[in-house]
Amino acid sequence: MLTGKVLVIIASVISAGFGMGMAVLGGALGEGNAVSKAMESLGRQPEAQSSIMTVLLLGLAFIESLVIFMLVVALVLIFVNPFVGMVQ
Amino acid sequence: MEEIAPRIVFSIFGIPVTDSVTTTWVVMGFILLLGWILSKNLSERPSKIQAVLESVIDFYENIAVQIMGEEGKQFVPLAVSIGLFILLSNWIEIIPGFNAPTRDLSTTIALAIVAVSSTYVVGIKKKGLRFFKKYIEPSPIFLPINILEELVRPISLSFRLFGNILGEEIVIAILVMIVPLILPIPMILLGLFTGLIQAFIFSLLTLLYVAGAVGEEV
Repeated sequence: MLTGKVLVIIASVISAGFGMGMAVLGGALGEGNAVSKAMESLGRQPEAQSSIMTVLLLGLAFIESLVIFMLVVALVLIFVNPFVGMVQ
Repeated sequence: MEEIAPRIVFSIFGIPVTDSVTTTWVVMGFILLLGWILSKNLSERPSKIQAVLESVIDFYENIAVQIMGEEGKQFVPLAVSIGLFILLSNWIEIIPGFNAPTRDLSTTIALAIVAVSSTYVVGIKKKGLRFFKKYIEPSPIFLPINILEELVRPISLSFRLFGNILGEEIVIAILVMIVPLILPIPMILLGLFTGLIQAFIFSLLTLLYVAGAVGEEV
């Protein structure tokens, strides 16, 4: 029976899962781009390897942190959902 | 999930103290012990451990000089302290019975506040009240955008570290529920690697923000 509380739970679980999937999609595309450009420049100039790898890891951590923000939202929606307490 | 949420260990004058705080004390004690042991026999002809430490400091000094010139060297202790604290806090997860204090949003927010307020202190000390002119650069239209960027910095710093460490812990906890002995091991190794990267990212961003506060020209 679709009362208010059940509806809130359904909505938050669906949005947490779906939003997380979209965040991971965007993150994977961005990171794939970054790695492919790093590979290209590595092939073009192999002696700059350590600098390229450092910058690559740095950039990947930044992109990953955007995905992590979505993970935090998903965790909040699933575990400490503030709306479930509000609705009877 | 109760195993990874912060537990209240005891109370001081009615203020509850979580296990993040006590683990932070353990990490602090460990850093002090490590610093005392490793600095006992410094010599001009370095032993292997001293050479490793010197190379780490050298790495940070190169980055600092690359970002903000010669005066960058005085900010290396700040970045290395923050990085070392975050690294040991993330890695203390390995010892059974300990939970990383950085999985608690309180710890990461405290670290982010330290990092961001040190940029203000350094900037105002160096430039006086001209420090606030940088919010008008390049034109006063940008004032809300610059203020927003300043507000977002501690949020993004703390949430990046918090999300990475807590996310890894939740994955490891779920894997432990499935197959306790073998399956979590690759995730734990990945968690160690992530902890190292995140500590480095935090310290590097601290250096970058201080450079932004100190720098004279764009």
